[in-house]
Amino acid sequence: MSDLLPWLIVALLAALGAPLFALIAAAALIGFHAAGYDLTVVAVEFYRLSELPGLIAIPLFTLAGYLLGESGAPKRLVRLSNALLGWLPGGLAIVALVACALFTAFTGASGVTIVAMGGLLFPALAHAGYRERFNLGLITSSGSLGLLFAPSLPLILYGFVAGQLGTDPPVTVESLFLAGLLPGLLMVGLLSLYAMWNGRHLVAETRKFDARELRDALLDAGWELPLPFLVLGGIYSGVLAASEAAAVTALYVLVVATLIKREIGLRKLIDTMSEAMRLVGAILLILGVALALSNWLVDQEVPSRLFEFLQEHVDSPLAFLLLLNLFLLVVGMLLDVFSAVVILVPLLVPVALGYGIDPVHLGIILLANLQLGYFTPPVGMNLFIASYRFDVPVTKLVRSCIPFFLILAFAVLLITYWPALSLALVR
Amino acid sequence: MTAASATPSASRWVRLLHRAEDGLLALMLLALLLLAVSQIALRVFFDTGLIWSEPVSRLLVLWLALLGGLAATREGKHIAIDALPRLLPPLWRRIAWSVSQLGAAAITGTLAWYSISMIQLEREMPTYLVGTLPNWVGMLVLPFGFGLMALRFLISSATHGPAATPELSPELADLDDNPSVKS
Amino acid sequence: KIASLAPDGSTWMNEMRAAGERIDAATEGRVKVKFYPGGVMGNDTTVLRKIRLGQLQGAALTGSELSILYKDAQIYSVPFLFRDDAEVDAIRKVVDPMLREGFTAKGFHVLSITGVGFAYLMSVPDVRSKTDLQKGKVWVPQNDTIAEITFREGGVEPIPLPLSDAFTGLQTGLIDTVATTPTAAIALQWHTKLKHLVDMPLSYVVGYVMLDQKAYMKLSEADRAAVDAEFAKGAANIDAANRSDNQKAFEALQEIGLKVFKPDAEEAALWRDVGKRALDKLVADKAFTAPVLGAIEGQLAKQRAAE
Ligand code: NA
Ligand code: NA
Repeated sequence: MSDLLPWLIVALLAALGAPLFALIAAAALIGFHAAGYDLTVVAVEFYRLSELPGLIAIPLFTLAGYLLGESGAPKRLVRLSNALLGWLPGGLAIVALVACALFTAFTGASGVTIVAMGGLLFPALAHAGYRERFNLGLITSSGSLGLLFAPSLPLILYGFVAGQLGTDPPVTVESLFLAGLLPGLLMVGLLSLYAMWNGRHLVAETRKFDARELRDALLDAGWELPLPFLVLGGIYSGVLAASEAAAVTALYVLVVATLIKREIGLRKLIDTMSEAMRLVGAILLILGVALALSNWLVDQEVPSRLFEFLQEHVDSPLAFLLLLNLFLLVVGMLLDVFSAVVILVPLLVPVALGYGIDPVHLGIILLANLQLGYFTPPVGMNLFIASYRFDVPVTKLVRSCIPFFLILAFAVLLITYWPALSLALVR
Repeated sequence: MTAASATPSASRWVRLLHRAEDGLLALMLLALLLLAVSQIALRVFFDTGLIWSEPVSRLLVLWLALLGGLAATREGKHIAIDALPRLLPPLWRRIAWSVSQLGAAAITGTLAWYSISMIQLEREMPTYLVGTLPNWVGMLVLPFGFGLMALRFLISSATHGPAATPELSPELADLDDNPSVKS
Repeated sequence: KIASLAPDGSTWMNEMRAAGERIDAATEGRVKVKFYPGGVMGNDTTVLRKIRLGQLQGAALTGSELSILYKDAQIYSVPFLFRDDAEVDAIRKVVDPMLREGFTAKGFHVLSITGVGFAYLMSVPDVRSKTDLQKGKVWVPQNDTIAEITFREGGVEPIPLPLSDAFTGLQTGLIDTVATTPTAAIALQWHTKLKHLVDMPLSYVVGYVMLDQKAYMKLSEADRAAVDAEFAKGAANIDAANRSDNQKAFEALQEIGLKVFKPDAEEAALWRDVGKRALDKLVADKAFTAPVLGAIEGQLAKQRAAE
C-alpha cells in the first residue's frame, strides 16, 4: 500500500490538472526511488538535454513560426492560395486546407492555426456559400493538418526521442521530414476531394482563373514564397542539417518581418520572442524529464517486458498496429502531442521494432494518429479552441467534425498498413 | 498579471521584473540564432568553424529550457490535462487548481534539490564544457530555474485561479479582427 | 550493469554478452551482468556520473571517451605510434598492466582492454599529402585532444563534432575527412560517402571494460576470479575477431571503390614528423604521465632495434 501511495498522489495531481512536466518528473523520481537509486540520477538525466545534437532546431523553428504568425504572412498566404486554386470547384475550401497545413507545419499545432487562419477563412467560406457545419468542421480539423510536414515540431521531437534510443535502422529528423511528405499529402488530398464534392454546386464561388490577381498575389507573398524551398530544399538536398535549416529560416523570417516588411517593431519582437520561448521552455522541460522517465523504463527493462507480454497475446504485426491505432486515438484525445511523443516513444519503439515495424514508419503512424486526437470528441483540444474562437457549442462542433474525422481516420489506416507510403522516400 | 498586486508600486516592480525576464529570453534566443548562423557562414564561405560554438549553443538551449519554463510558469502556460477541472463548478475548480499548483511546487522543489546534489557531485570531479569552463557552471541554471519555478507555483496556488481557456493566450484572442479575403 | 556507446550487435557487445552468460553459469547466478549498449544510458560523461551515483556499476568505453577520467587511457592513440600489429602486441604486453594500475588508482577495476583497431585517414577528396589534407574539412570527435592536436600540428584546423553528428556532417559537407577504423566506417554508414583512404595506420584505438572498484570488491573472491577469467577470455576473442573484421572491412572498402593511397617512404616520413611534433605538444601539455609514456618509448626502441 505504501508503495502505491505516491503513485496515487501523482494520479490525483494529474486529474486536478497539474503541469505534465511535473507529473512526469514525479513519476521518474518515484520510479528511481523504488529502484533504490540516488535521485540525483534524475537531475543527471535532465541535464542530458544539453547532449542532444541539433536541439537548437526546436527554439529556432518555433521563433520562425511565431514571427510568421505575428506578421501579415497568413493573409498573404490565403490570398496566394486563393489566386492559385480559387477557380477549382471547392477551390476556396481547398485553399483553406492547403493554407492551414502549411501554416501548421511552421507553427506547430498549438491552436494558432485555428485562431489565426480561422479568422480569415471562416468568413470567406461562409460568404462563398458553404454550409456552416462544413466550415466549422473544416477549420477545426485543419487545425492539426500539416503535422506531418517539415518542419513541424512534433516531427522534430519524435526524431530526438527515438533517435537517442539508438535503433537499427536509425531515426533522424531528416528522414522523418522525408517520410511525412506523402502521408501528409494523402490527408490533404482526401480532404480536398471532399471539399470539391461539397463545393460542386457553388456556382457563385467558382470564378475564372485570374492571371493578374495571381501575379499580384505572388508579388505580395514574394518574401514568404522562398520559405518552403529554403526548409525543404535545404534539408532534402542534403545541403543543410535540420538544425541549420532552422537557423537560416529563423534569420530569414526575422529579417523580413522586422527590416524589410517592417510588420514587427522592437517591442513586439521582444514579446513575440519571449512568448515563443515560453512554449519552447514548456516543451523542453517535458523532454528533459521524459529523458529521466524513459531512462527508468530502460533501466527496469519495461519495454522488453511489455513486448514479451504483448507477444503472448498479439501474434501479428497487423493486429499490433490495429491495437496501436485504437490506443493512440484515446491518447491523442487526452494528451497533447508533445507529451504523448515523449512518454510513448521510448515504450513503443522497442516493441514495434520487435514486430518488425520501421521506427520511422512508426513515427508517422504515431503523429497521424495524434493529429486525429486533436479533434476527437469529447475532449480533443482543438474542439475547445474552435468553440472559443467561433463562439459555438462544442457539441455542434463535434457533429460538424464527423465527416472530416472519418476521412482522416481512413487516411490513418492507409498510412498504417501501407508502410511504403512513408518509407518510399527514405529507405 | 501574476502575484503580489498588493500595492501599486509592488506590482510595478513585478512588471519590471517580467519585462527584464522577457528581454533576457529574447537576448538568449538572439545569441543562439547568431551563433548558429555564423557557424554556417564560416563553414560555407571560409571552410572553418568555431570549436566552442556547438557546446555553447547546447548550453544556451538548456538555459532557454529552464528560463522559458520559468516564464511559462509565470503565465500559467504549462501543458496540462485539464479536461476534468473544466467540468467542475467554480469553487471546486479553484481548489483543484491550488492543490495541483502546490503539488507542482513540491515536485519542482525536489528537482532543484537534486540539481544541487548533481552540481556537488560534478565539482568533486569536474568535466569541462569548453577549455577551462567547467560543466557545473552551466548546470547552475537547473537549481536556479527549478527553485524559482517552485516559488512561482507556490504563489500561483495562493493568489490566482486557472485562466478561462488555458490553451489560448490573450495575444491569440486579439487576432480576431482579421479582415476576410475577397472571393 | 554495464553501459556502452558501442551499438548492439557489434563484435564487442556480442562477446561481452557471451562473457556475461558464462559468468552467470560459473557463479551459479550470483553475478548477473546486464548491458546497456548504443548510448541508451547517455554519453561518456553521463555514464561516468551514473557509475558514481550507483545506477551503473561499469562501462565499456574507448580510450578517448575515458580520457576525461584517466589521461593515459588513450595513450595508444598517439599518432603513428605503431607501424603494425606485431608492435602493438609487444607493447601492450608491457603497458596494459600499467594502465590497469592507473585505473585502479582512479577507483576502477579493469576487466579487459581490447584492440578496436587501427584508424586510417578516409576522405571524400583525394588526400595524398599534407597540403591536400589542409584543404579538407577534417572531423575530430568532441573532447578528443589527441586527434585535435595532431591535426593542428599538421596545419589543419579540425572540426570537432559529437560522433552522433558526424554522419550528417559528411552528408552536408560540413566535414569531408575522418580518421576511423575500417569496421567503424562501414558500421556507421560513412563508407557510402567516402572515396579515398590513406594506407598508413594513424592511431590505435582500444576499448576498456571496467567496473566500479567498490562494486567489484563486494563480490566474493571466487566470483571475482570468475568475472575476471570470463572477461579475459572474451577479450582474447574480441582482439582476434576485431583484427580479422578490420582486415575484411578494409578489403570491402576497396571492393566498393574506395581508392587506397600508400604513401612512399618520403611522404611517410613527413607524416611521422607531424606525429612526432604532436607528441611533443601532448607531452608539453602533460596529456600523459611520464612512466607510461617512457615504458612505451623504451619498449618500442627495443623492439625496433631487434628487427
Ligand atoms: Na533515456
Ligand atoms: Na488535450
